[in-house]
Formats: sequence, structure tokens, C-alpha cells
Amino acid sequence: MDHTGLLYVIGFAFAATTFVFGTILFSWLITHRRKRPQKGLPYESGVDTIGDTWSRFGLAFYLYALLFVAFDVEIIFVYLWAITVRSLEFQGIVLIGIFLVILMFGELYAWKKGDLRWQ
Amino acid sequence: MDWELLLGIGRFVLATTLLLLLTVPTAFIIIQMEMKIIAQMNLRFGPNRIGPRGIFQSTIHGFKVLAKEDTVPDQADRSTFTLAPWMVYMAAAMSMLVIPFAPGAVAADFNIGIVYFFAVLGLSVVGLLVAGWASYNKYSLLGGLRSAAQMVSYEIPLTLSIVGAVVLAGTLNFSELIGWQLENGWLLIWQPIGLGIFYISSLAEVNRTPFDMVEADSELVAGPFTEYSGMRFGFFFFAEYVALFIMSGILVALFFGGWLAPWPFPAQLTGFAGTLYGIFWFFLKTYIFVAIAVWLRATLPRVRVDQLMGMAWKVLLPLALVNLFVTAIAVVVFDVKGV
Repeated sequence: MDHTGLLYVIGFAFAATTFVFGTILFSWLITHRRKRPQKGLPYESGVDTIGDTWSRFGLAFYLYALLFVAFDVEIIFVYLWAITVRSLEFQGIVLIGIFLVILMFGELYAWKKGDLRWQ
Repeated sequence: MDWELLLGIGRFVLATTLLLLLTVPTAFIIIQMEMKIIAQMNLRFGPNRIGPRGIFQSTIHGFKVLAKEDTVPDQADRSTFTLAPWMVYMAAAMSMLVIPFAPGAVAADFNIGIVYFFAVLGLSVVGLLVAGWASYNKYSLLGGLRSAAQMVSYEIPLTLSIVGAVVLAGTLNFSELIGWQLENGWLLIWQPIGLGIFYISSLAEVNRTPFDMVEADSELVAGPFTEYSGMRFGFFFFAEYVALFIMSGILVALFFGGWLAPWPFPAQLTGFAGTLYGIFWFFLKTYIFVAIAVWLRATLPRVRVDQLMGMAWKVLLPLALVNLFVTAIAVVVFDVKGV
């Protein structure tokens, strides 16, 4: 087994991390810092914050995430099929068609329920 | 000492250093293009003080950011607040590993390069979401959630639009894909619908106008970046422009023949000369697409957020699936040769 590619990914991740935090550290060393109470306030167009920011938010975001998970897992499967189209011929196309139609039913259901409409 | 191992380590060090160093001038060049091109389109002068015709303006901006005070809001979640720019930058930088600059000039030529690319670039959603959450600011939170919803939605048509190209070429490796395009013509003529879907989704994925819902200056101040300052903000900016460069590069590699010249590749150019020739064409085409993205920003207004989400799920996704099936059937019926 050839693991060079994996080593590249890991090594590059280390190098990039060093670059990011090294630069931030360097910037921290050369900048001046003067603490003022106003600097720590959240910037909300000059108006004082009302209530807690970390509270409940709209359900719409969550529904998109849920749909995404269903489709994203499916895409991995489609990619595997895509590189073997020639050897699987029509059987493969029919099978992936059935698979995608079932999946599209899920999307159509969400569509009909109005979940794809932004609220 | 094992020379082959030493050579391998040397290549790794060289590739990593070059790629990391490349992100800096790339961001500077694109910011400069953005300032200058949009200024000219607005009949303004744009930056014209620093350097000849102001070409060093963005570089100076970059160093200014480095020397700026880096404040953290009192109520912010300090650890995740610092990690968010790192995540966003990593997502952009890591995907540079598979960009095919020229024959032989690919840092890591994975056989699943396309899957790796989408997997890694998709991680920037996490960074934006974390940034929005950690800032303890309502604009940031809204911006983060919007960006998550938008990028997650457009990732589906983005990845599905490629499948047509993958079916045609029968490979997930960028170099082999470009090799296929050398023999059969650029995928632009084979996959016009795929190209259209990919282009629209890629603009949405890197948060460019007309899909810059994440920042939406007039609505959300600066989205998830509102509370950031100094170098932490700088890395968000870096990542954004590097991502634009990468998306244009991948667009070129997938549909516009990557390092191929518009006319037949001169066969006598092998080795180092061929690599330089390829790099020239790759960068030329990539920066043409970057310029088009800047041009779009000067021209188009922002899309409304509800229309934006509707388009991804109701138009682009079904279109991408139809495109995929038509391509697959055509490949089997006409017996198109793969790699």
C-alpha cells in the first residue's frame, strides 16, 4: 500500500496550522493592546444587545441541514457508480435510477410540505 | 541514507512551502483586482497611491491587518473564537493539494482527487458556523446560520454537476481528467449544462455576489466576521479569496482543459518546459475566471435569500440529476471511450 498521499494530507495540515497560528502569534507580538470596556461589547449597530444571543433560532436552518445529510451521503454512492458506468451498462443506470427516485421522493415530500420555502 | 526517501521528503517540503506561500500573493492579487476593476467599472480611479498605479495597495492592507489590535468580545467563547478562522483557512488551503497546475506539478495527485476536493472544501461551512456562534453577536449568529444553510444547499448541485464529467471520463483523478480532455476536447462542449450548474453553485459556495448572503453588508454588517479584527479577521479574508482562486482553478481543470492550451499541446515541450507552459495556461485561464467573478460583483445585485435557497433545491438539483442520467445513457449507448 502506498500511503504517500495520506502523508501529504497530514503533513500539509500540520504546516498550514503552524502557518496560521504562527502568523497570529507574530501579530500578537507586534501589536499594541489597550483594554477598554467598550471594546468587549458586541457590535450590533450601536444599540445595546437585548436578551441572550445563544438562544433559540429558526427551524428552517435545521431542515436544510437534514436534507443535506441525506443527499450528501447519496452523492458518495453516485460517484462510485459514475466511474463504473461502462462495466455496469444499463443495469447500473436502472439501479441508480431506482435509488435516486426513492431519494427524490424524500425531497418532493419536503417540497410539498413547504420546507424548501424560506421562512 | 536512502536517497529516494530523502528526495520524497524534499518534494513534500517544497510542495508544502510553495502552496502555503502561494496563498498569500493570490489573496493580494485578487483583492487588488477587486479594488481596481470595480473602481474602473464605476468610473473611479481606485487605488493609485502606493506603487505604480497603486498595485501595492492590497499588500499594504495585508500588513496593516497584521499590525492591528486583535480584540475578543467579553462574552465570546474564546477557544472556538480562535479556532474558527483556522478551520476556514484550512479548508481552503488543504484543497490546494489536488489542484492540477501543470503536468507533474500537482502536490498530491490522488486517484480520488475530485472527492477529496469537495470533502475538504465543504469543511469551511463548519468554520463559518463556529465563527457565527462563538462571537456572541446576533448578526454573526444569523450570518453563520445563513452561510451554513446556503453552502450546504449548494454543495449538492455542485457535487452532482461534476458527476456527468466523471461519467464521461471515467476517472476521479484531475490529471487523468485533463488527459481525457486533451484527446476528446474540453468538457465545456460535452457538459454545457453541468458547467452552468457548476458555475452558479461555485459562486454560491465561495459566497460571491450575487450570492454573498453570508456577508450581506447592508443586512448583517459582516456576517460571521463582524466581531473579528486583526489577523484572525485576516485569515477569513485570505481563505475567502483563496477559495475563489481554487474554485476558478477547479472550474478550469474540469471544464476548460486545465493546463491545456486552446490549440494542440506542442509535443516537443516535455519535462520542465512543458510544466512551465502548463502553469502559464492554468494561471491565465484561472485569473480570467477570477476577473469574471469580480465583474459579476460590480454588475449584479444580491439575490433574495428565499429565492436563493429555492433555486438550489428546486432548479439546480433536478437539472443536475437529469444531466447526469442523459450523460450516463449517452455514454453507454454511444460507447464513449473513457480514460
